[in-house]
Amino acid sequence: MRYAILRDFLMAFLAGREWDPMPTFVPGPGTDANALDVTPDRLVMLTFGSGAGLSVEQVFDRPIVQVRAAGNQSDYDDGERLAYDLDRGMLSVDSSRDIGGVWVTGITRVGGNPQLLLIDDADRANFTCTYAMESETGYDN
Amino acid sequence: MADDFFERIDELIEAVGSGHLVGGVEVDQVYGHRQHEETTWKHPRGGEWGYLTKPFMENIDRYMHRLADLAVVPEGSDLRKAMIDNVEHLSDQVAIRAPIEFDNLRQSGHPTVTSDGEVVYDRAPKQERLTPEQLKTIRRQHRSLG
Repeated sequence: MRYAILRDFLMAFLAGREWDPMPTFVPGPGTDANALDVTPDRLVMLTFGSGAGLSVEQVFDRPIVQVRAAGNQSDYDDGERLAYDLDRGMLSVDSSRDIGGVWVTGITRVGGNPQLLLIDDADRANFTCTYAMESETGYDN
Repeated sequence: MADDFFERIDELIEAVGSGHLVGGVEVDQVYGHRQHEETTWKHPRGGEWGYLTKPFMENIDRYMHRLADLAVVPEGSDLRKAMIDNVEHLSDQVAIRAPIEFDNLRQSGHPTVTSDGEVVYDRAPKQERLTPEQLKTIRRQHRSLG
């Protein structure tokens, strides 16, 4: 699973739930280290981790991904609703399906529901939640 | 013969037990959550974000195998022991992978196991939760060493 594919999937899900304007999506953690400081308003950061490694005779990978959601300034509810809508999008993959050309057998949480991490300097509520998935290996898949 | 079989199965059911067997590792420090979730922070003294989630996922096959291996043994079942081994291993991973500032976080792994709601294992963390006063003192000491 690649960042761009998961981003597009989540953006389509949020569009279906009438999020307008759409949050800015950035990959975490290092490619845009200042994204949190310089991006105004809503922000979603997707950070992949290697997770549990290969499965199904090396056809599938089991990465983890942390979804970090920051809502509009001075609007706790906005951040919380964004985090839970993203959570709903992730958990909608509860059985085998194709996501942007990548076969995913399922996505589940690692641990609990989205939790408040902090209210940042811009007065945005930042929530995080971590997920595990099993998806086809490879860049092109 | 059939009687023996059913008796043995009953013995096994009793040895394995019923209800949920739950293992957990808690890190109870005021900065523990932020250190775990902040993917953007750099840790020049070592350690990384996701110091519980990452080793848990990386070792999930090992943990499941351990449970499977000890679910049925000649003496009955060692499931609880398997879960205790698992949470102790995960707690050891915290000691290796949590970010270092003053080395307190790495000592804060607190493994527990409950069986059907009853606590069957509770090993106190080597480092209890630090109070704001203790944190201030530690910071002051490190600054003066500095």
